[in-house]
Amino acid sequence: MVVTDPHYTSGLGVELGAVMGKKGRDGGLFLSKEGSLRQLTGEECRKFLGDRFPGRRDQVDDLLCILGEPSDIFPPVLVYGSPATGKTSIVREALSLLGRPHAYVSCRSCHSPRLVFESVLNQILGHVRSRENNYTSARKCEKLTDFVTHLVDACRGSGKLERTVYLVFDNVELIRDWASGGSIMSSLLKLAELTRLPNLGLIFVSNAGPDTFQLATASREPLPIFFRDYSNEELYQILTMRQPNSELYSFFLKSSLAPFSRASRKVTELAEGLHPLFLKYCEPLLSGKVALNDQGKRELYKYVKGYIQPALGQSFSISEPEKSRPGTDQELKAVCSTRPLAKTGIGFHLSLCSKYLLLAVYIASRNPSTLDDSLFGSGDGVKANKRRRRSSVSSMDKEETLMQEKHLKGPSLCSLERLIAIFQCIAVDSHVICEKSECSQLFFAEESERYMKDVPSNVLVELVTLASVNLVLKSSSNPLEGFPKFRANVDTDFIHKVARSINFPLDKYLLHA
Amino acid sequence: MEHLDDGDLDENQLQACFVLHQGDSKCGDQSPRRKAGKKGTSCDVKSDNEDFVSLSSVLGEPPSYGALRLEAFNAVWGRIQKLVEDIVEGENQETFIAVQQWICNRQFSEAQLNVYHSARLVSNSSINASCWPMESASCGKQLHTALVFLGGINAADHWRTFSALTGHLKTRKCLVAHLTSVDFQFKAGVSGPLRTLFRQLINIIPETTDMEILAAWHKEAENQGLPIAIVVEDPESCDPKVLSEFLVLLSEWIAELPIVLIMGMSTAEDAIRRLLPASTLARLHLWRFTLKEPQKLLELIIRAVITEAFCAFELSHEVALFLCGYFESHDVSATSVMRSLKIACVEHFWKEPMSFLCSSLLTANSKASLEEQCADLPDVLQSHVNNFASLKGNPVLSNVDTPLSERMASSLWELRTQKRMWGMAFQCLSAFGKYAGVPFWDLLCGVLQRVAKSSTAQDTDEKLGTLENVISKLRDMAGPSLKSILEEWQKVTLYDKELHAEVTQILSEMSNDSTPGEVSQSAASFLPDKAKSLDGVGVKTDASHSLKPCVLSRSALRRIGQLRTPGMISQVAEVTINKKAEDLLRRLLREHLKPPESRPFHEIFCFKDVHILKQALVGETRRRVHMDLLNSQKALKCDCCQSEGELSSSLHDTTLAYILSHEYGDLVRVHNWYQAFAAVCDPKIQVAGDVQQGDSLTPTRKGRPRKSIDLPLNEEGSAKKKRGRPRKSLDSVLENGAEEKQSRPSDVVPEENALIQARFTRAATELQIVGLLQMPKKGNSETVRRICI
Repeated sequence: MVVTDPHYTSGLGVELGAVMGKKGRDGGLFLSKEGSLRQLTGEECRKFLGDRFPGRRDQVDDLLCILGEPSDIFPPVLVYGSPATGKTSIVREALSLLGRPHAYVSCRSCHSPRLVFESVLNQILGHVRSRENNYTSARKCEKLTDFVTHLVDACRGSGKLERTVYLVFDNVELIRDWASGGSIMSSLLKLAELTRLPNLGLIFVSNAGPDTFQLATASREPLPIFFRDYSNEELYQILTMRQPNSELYSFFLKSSLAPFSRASRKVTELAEGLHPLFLKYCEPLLSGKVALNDQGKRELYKYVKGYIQPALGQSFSISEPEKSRPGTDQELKAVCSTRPLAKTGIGFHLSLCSKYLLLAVYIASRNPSTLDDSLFGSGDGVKANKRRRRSSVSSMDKEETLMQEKHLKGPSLCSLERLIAIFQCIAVDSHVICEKSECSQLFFAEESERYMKDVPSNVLVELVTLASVNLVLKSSSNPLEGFPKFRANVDTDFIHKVARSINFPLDKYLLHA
Repeated sequence: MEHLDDGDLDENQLQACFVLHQGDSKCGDQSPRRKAGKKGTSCDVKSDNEDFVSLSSVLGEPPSYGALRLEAFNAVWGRIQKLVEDIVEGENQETFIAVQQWICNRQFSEAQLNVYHSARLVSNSSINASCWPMESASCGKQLHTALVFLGGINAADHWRTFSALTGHLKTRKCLVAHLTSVDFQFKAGVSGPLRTLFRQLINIIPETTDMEILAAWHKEAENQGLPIAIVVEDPESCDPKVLSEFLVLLSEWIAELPIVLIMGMSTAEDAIRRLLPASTLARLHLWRFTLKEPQKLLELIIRAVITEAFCAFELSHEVALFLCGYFESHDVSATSVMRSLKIACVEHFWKEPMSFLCSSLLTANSKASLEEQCADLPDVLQSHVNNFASLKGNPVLSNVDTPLSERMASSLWELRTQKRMWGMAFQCLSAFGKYAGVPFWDLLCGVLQRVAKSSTAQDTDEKLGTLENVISKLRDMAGPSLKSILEEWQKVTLYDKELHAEVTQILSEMSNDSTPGEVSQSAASFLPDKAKSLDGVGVKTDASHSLKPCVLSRSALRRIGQLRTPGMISQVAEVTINKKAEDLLRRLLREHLKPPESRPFHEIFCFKDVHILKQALVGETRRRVHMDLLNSQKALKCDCCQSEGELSSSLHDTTLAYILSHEYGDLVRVHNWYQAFAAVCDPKIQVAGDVQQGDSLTPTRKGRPRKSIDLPLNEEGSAKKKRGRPRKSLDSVLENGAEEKQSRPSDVVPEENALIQARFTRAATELQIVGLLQMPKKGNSETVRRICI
């Protein structure tokens, strides 16, 4: 069945291209020469793809219909749907199987317009980067106009005008984020008109639907082909296809796929998420406790059920490189506790000064500055340089509700001055602050008092270090502007562990906590 | 200079912090030396040859001694450096091998999977599909990622570790690229890391950053099949968006290229979840590797350097205590240890004329050769040695009868044995500490504190301080652990025969403590043995001589007491053995754990100056900037502006501007500030300003030069009225001022005006860079803010 747009019907003869060698996955496959490989007719291709991609028969039909015969004129097509639904694979395999000349470019690995243009041209011209040509591309084109010129030359030069040449652009949703991405997208859609090459087939593959591309008014809407998410049965089929021991795996899937597919329908994620669970499922079999019969399967079902819920909550896992990988959670915990750092609770070493700094930042970003006076007393004069209004008793209630609101909002920013002042207050007992060098003679006595309260540069270095590992967030755009603000980026558990490790009464300093 | 807040590496590479140094005239010439040390381990000290030589003029010694000192420094420091580096390398080696093994395994299992998938697809497909490429075999594959948990945030160490790892992998046939957070910046986007990747791997700077280039390069014959390891040193400091984009891009290419990723994690494993979005994380297969904890590493280093190895260079207890505190509260990295040791070393060899003897001490193999060296000393140095504080008040050593060279040589020669005994005693203590559950740090600090006490007060009571509690634990130690402690002591004391015999004695008593006869026998034999050993030690050191009799009698009494009760049960025997072990440990501590500065001629090999070390390690604060700015004439040593606090046109511009800015509150009105500046700089304006001063405080006409010493309060008030036009920046404020001046006839020539403006602008910018000033902001464009913390 060949359906073509009546405006684009051409009288060119049917001629099939041939499949020729593979040139890189993202590099794409351009079929330039007559080759030895067998190619399929439309019907064979439909059957083959339908078998290989369960649940995608409709989309394959649509695509093959639009593809039509080798020299049919091809309207721009937008293939869209969630990630891992087989969009790219089906498009590329269909083109390969039918032996259509095409160039494939992913906008992810070609992360700028120039790379996209040059990659397309390289594939059409059959250019291979190598040491001899210093890994340069065939043509240099930085602008769209260059690309259009070169593309026309390339297509004319290779004499492929009688057959439709397909350009596949993958991940086109990324183009939107590029500088002047909108106009590039519009231009790509109009590429056939711009180049005046009537049989230039354009296929766009995207995660985002057609409405999300805010195209220029005069641009052409591409034909949409939507790849819906897989259903449970389809997922089941796909996952069993990928496994060596299909029978056992299918039993396993029956028990565990349903809860998992509620969380994610991505084939890749499911496969990775189910894999450790499957290993656990196999454990009793391997140890010989359970035989592979109906009774055994029921036992296995009961056995694995307890692990499904924890596995769902796990967002990621880190494997151990040793041969004896911890199988169960208990074992994993055992490994954690034997690891020497785990006993400190934080999981890594923080210097004493950093710990106090972290606590200071946390306290500062949890409490409003108006409460500093009551928390840190008035005797030590640290806060001499801070302007603070005294709050009356009546306003305290109001403040309290504000505080609760604030607590819900999360940690707030605090200035460096306040942070350092709090740090000095809480670290005054410990010998964190190295003793200050004696003050030399001063001109301005009243000024000197201010500067007496300095902390050594080490403390500031450590603050920067903490900020560099995201334990403390810093908000300042320009370093010369000064006044950076800081905010703690640690959760309550972590900060309490830190406080415990140095016996610091954190709760005393946290109001409304 | 110090910049507190400019950790923004991504902004313009401003240094996060600068360590400040006192610029006083006395030690002003030290700064180049100290810098050399501070730059850390990689810097070459040879360039400082002149400094070593130039010192000779101070003493009037032959110039060749400067070079000798440099040589000695190189020898001693080289030894310490090698010691530390060996330890670090040895500790990391295990993980490196594991990582390398892991890369091999990944590659192998990938190959297996590929074979499996292709075989399976062929058998599954209804038609002969072997003729076309298997696309889906690769889809859903994850990028293998090794998370190397570093255990702490020590950027300098991490760099060293990953450089070593890169080197290790390169020698094992891996193609390695080492990326840091500098490459992952938001501005450059994903092409930033790719560019570095290509530069490191392919050695070209490509026009475009297309992964095809890498693929093409990997197809070259010599790279075929080799794994590509990409090391990201500090993912936590990278821009998360760029990093995740980069990882996704890499994961798209794993079918083509055998890429593995190695990421250093300085915090806990949770950090990776916060750093990367789930969609990126799903593309990674994470593996855990853990490096030695920094604290444990530091412990090993300190143990080796301070207690075990003989380097002919000692740290006084004060210095050691300071360093321990510093490491604990600030920086535990191996780099910082090396840096501080190097600073100490450099300072010592530079300051102490006699320090060149250290190298001969390190290499000499007999006392005679040392003595020869000492005898060759020129008179200047001999008199210098005679002035050593360690010789004063010591009748034996300041005795003029025996030649100086002999005295020196013998006490220096003894240093080796003393150091060994020190190390032995400490090892015994730490072996016990290991079983008693006392951390190494507490032990070391306890020892150092004890040492500090005993050196200050020559008390005979010998309080052990914090160590007392620790040692008393030995009394309650159970049999098996006591036995293992004793066994370790046995190993440790191999060098010293008497002690070794003693420990063996206690151990044998323990093993057959059931028979009372033997116990009594052994105890009897123990007494003379002990007395003998005490005599042997007593000759060596005089300071502890007076303590001996009382110690002997006490412990002997106890033993005699035990002898009187024959037929004791094994538990009692155990108690006595505990007691014996405790006594032995106490004696060891008393006799051998003495500070190096209590030894004669310690000036030659012992570094004592804590203040210099402190100054070098702990940077000064912004107060130093403040003080230096206010006292610039001291640093400049000019004659023109002697009077303190008085403004004169010859003051340095920045100083002048800074002093003037103090006449305002936190907010400084730029125009008034400038006019005050101009008035001081230019005498002509000064005159005008003086005239104006008569009617100060009243609003003056626009642009009229005046010396404004307005108080902040009325200054702010009048400012609003005076200025009609809003001003955007400092420059525009000045320009406006200039326009005004130029528009009306003035007694000031415009060119001069421009010059002053330029000077003023520069001064203000310098203050801004130093961090004392904040430029005008949008809302308040007429004033700058002084920053005081």
